[in-house]
Amino acid sequence: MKHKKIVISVFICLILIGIIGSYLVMHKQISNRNVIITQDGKELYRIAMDSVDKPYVIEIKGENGEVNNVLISKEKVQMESASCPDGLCVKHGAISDGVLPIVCLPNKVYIQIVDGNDYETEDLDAKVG
Amino acid sequence: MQRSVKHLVLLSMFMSISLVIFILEAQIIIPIPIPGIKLGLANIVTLFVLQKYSIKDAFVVLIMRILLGSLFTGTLVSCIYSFSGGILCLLGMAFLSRILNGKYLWFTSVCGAILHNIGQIIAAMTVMQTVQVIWYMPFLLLSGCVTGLLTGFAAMFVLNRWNKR
Repeated sequence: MKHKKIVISVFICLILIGIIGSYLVMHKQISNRNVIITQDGKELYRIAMDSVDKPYVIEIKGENGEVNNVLISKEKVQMESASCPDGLCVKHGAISDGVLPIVCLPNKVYIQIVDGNDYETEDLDAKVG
Repeated sequence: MQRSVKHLVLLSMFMSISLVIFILEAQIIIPIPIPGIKLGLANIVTLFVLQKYSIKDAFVVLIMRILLGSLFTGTLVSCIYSFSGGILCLLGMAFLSRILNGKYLWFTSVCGAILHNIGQIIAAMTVMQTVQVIWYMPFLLLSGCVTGLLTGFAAMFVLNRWNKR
């Protein structure tokens, strides 16, 4: 029976670590946020979010007529509308930190927020290359 | 370990059961935008075989399931992820079920699920050559707790039924 207590406490600890960790990761603050919009592996836009005064929409057109509209504001980025069938990227909602990217698999569009201070383009290319 | 025909047939039955579960599970879209989160239902079979037979048998079932499963559903990359996750998961579960004498199967399953996710993250870090994916770990830890609990209880129920037979 002595195992029971250990097992249950370890389990509770794991859940707590998971919750706290998720919370911390979700609220990770980065300064100097840059939005990178990538289509089919090519970087299309790199926008410093602090320099965005008024929210605006960027339209990304694909080879076969796919359209993704990305709404960019000072605080957050979101996929406003997309032509993809599942619409997962729109459902994802707005992102404001570097944790989870917005991915539209059907249209091969990838939106990501990075820290402009410690992130180099050449670095990414070397990694993906 | 007996190498009788009955044993062989049973193992291949378990393999095909887990393969079917694996393929069906791949069709379920989970509305959480984090890669790597899944129910891990196929682990029920691995856990069952590990508990009922031996680690060797569970290993065979696992490897065959991953090989055939990737052939049917995924790509080479998903095969690498499944391998590193699955093997780490099985080793951890075998270790735990020995320590706990096969009791607390749900806990064994939870640890297995978490180890599976750790293995996948390590594989992702090696394949993509980036450490950024480690930020997924807390979410995967949490999902591992939940899905591991579910599959663990499922395996326990199956074992109970099997023993009562």
